[in-house]
Amino acid sequence: MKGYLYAFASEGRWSASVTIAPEVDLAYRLDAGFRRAVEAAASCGDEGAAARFGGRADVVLLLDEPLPLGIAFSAAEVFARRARRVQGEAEAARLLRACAREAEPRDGRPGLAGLNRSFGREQPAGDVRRIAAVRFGRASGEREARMLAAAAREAAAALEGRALLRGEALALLGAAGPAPARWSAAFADAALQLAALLGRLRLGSAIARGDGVRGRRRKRRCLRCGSGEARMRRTPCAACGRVCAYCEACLLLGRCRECTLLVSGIPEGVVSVRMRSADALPPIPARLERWGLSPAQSDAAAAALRWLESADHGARRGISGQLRGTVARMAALCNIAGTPGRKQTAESAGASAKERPPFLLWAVTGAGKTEMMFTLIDSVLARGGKAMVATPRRDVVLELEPRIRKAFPEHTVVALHGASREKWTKADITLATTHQTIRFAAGFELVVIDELDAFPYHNNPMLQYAAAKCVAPGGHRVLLSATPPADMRRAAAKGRLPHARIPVRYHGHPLPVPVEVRVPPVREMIRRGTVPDKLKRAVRSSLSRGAQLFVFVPRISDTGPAASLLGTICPPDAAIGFTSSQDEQRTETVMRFRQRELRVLVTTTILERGVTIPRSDVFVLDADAPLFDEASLEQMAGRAGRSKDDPHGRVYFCAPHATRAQRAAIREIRAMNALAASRGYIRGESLAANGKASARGTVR
Amino acid sequence: MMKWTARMRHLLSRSVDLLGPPDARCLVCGGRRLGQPPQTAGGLRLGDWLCAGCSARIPWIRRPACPRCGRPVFCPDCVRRPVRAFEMNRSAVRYNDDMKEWLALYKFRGDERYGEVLAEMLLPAYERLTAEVSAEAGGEDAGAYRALFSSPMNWPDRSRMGHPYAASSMTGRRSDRLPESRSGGQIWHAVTYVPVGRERAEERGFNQSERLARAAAMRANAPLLPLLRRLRDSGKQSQRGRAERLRAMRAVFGPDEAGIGRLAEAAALSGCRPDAPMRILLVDDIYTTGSTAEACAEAIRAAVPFPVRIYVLTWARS
Repeated sequence: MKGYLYAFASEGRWSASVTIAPEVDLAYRLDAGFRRAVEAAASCGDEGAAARFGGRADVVLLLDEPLPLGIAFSAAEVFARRARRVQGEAEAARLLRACAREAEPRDGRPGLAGLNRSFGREQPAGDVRRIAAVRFGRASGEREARMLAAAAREAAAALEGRALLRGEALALLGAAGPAPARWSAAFADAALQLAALLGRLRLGSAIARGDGVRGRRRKRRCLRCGSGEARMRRTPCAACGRVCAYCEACLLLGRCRECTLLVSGIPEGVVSVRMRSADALPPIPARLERWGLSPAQSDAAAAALRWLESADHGARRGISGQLRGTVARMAALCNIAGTPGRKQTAESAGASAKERPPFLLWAVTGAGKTEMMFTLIDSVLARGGKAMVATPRRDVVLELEPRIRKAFPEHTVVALHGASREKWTKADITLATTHQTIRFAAGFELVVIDELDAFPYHNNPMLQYAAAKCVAPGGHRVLLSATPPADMRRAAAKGRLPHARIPVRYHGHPLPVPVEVRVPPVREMIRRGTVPDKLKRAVRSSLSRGAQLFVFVPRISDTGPAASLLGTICPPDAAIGFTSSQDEQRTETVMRFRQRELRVLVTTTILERGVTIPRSDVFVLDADAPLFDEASLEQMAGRAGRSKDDPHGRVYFCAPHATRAQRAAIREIRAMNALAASRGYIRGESLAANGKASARGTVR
Repeated sequence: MMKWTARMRHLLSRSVDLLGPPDARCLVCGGRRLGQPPQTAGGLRLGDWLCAGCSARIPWIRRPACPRCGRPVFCPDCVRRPVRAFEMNRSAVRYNDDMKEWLALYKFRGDERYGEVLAEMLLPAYERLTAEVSAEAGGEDAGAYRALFSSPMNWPDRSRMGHPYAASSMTGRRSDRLPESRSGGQIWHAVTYVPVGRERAEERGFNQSERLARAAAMRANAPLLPLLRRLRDSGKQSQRGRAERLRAMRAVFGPDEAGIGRLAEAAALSGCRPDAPMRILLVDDIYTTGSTAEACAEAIRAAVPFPVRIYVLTWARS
């Protein structure tokens, strides 16, 4: 897409701006009647906001030739840096042309220059047109202006808190897509442009070029997903006629190009915080009663709530700093020409963004994290905020949706994932797969990130950027994990990361402590075709107590052979299945296991999370494999004993020798049990059993 | 928040990647391509993007059953409609579900790395078409033509994991290909492509047919000329039936005057006899009913004042 670059003077100061609907900008800058009409119609009572922007201009210098958006915005930025020295129109026009020329892609390989030449693009920056007076529309300018202002207001409201590409924004506004168009694309563009002029949302190119000051190479950055130059791929683009970059990292959610428009629903200037103070709410214990939590759950939830609600007071003081933090990361580069105050905004952005650590809910597997999450959501919704729950997997979204709807019947809920249809619905609670957070910006007062140590969120800077980006000013992030990564544990231990630990399951029984069994490697057992007696005994005793068995192996190729090996030692009525990420019938196999059709399921780490089987025991074969790290072992051990009816599941780590990961996992589980016991969370009858289990130790 | 120890650890964990080849991941399945990419002599560089498993799944059309449209099975369409505005079509692969997905990733999602893969995959079909045409064009080339088809190793073979030209008996690398002169300029006077509408081009950012045609033109050492313009958007062909497609395609394409002019110049420069037809290679991504190819060929014929023969090269035959 292309936009027009223009410079305008107001009270002798020159600024530059980019527009996708030049007639709107010209009318807004030069036609006082139009400006009055739209500001009256759009601000609806909030006069201060509109007057502050001072969009009036004495004269506009419009570059005749439209430029690709990336180039146009980057040129406007260059202009803003140099505009202070400009005296007079002729100089401004010269600078405008020079900026446009400078912003053209010239960097890098000679091949690209050749390609640019082949597009016939050596001398850009056409003529500069001087415009001093315009009248918007024809006869009924006033009415048209009101209509456009109404549309702009509607667009700004609909896009609030989102970060959408132009195509997505138009689809949301009903100007594109399968349904008959409500607005024409041109009208929607005009409405977006006006909303941006009024400071209700921000327009920019989806990929921004960093400033090339001090001789550094300009580095591109995807403003939607935060990916840097390494994920940019430059290709000739028919939309803008240049070699322009697109972002490979977030390609899955639509293509971000340098010349694509990114609409961010972040209002400009001082944001009125949507959320009310917690003072008006009933005291925390009274609110927690509703959820029927266990003592451990209530303690942690109360701690989290206190953090969530007390932080608001500090937040109100430092609100401008927070706004800068959220906004500057993506929007400092957009639409730079405007009030001079915004430059400082961009500079102080980095520091203030770091001031807001998230809250970690460190809860053992099966602790009942969901209910604790509900208490936090409740607090935010009660104060007029919006909440987002991001989770790595789609099936968790689908599983959580009815529970959330039931818990919050008076609020709207939307579930977003790759295949969901209600992409553009606005709701109080948004449930989404982690990737969908990319499409939001500053939209939520509470963002809960489930299983932060799991694929794909863990070690994925793109998703971490996206999750941080969708927190509204004055909002909070809460992270949930049973096995937080090491640096986060350290930060928590040193008090740098606010957190609450839930060391016990909701049913009040301790976690089953894994028992180490010394057996040969799986492949060796498969080769010999025999199972050592101690493993055989353990498997048979588990089966005879009526449990279902999770058998984890590190390699996909071992699942089948291990299943047939176990078949030789199991009673014939015990059906054995196996599955892995490469299994086409994975869903069906897991379903059969859930329905107890299968008694034993041999699988890889894909089932280490999320699957809950009421009465189950866990066997980890080759527990010494490097793939099974501490977190993975803890998660696998967490499959056992989750139900109230069978809280003492059995867990076996089967390996030829001990490893640090196994020892650390066992130590961690014991530590959690000890912590739970010392806080008095463990039920009386379990204490004895716990002692017995830990005394059993290694089977030799 | 990131301490220097964390930064060091991060650097160390990345150092293994820095030592290895830059992007040793299969484009399709994301699996690591181990070792050296299987560079085939003078042949396709599919190994640069795909792992052995994924490149083995490509459903090459090794032997067209229909001499006109290049379909690998019996073709009732061409029996029903023997006269076409173009001479013949040759396609590289069958349009199965895998290929459908690849094309969708390229065209609709915009993953342009697939563009390079698809262009590479087009080359075997290009070579075959060139060989057939050169055999047809001159009697002296007939020997070469027969030689080409009597030797089985000029076509991607499943037993060689889809790496064409990995001929065991061949010694010289270049000789695996057709001699340059035969695949070169005098067979093809120009290469052109099916145009897309302006709106579609802006939405998509590229014309996949143009990208494919560019690869063929480089190979042929022939000029890539835009001979056609799309007069109106015909809508998505993939949602139409056969008769509807034919109807929708009427009057969609018009001549691109500049391109036609350059074609006339090329004709004058080539110095061939005025009555001898020019050979034009028309490139598109898919051949389904042939209605697009037909419409384009008709439009070119109508616009060009001298005799032309139009040959169609497509990436997939559905």
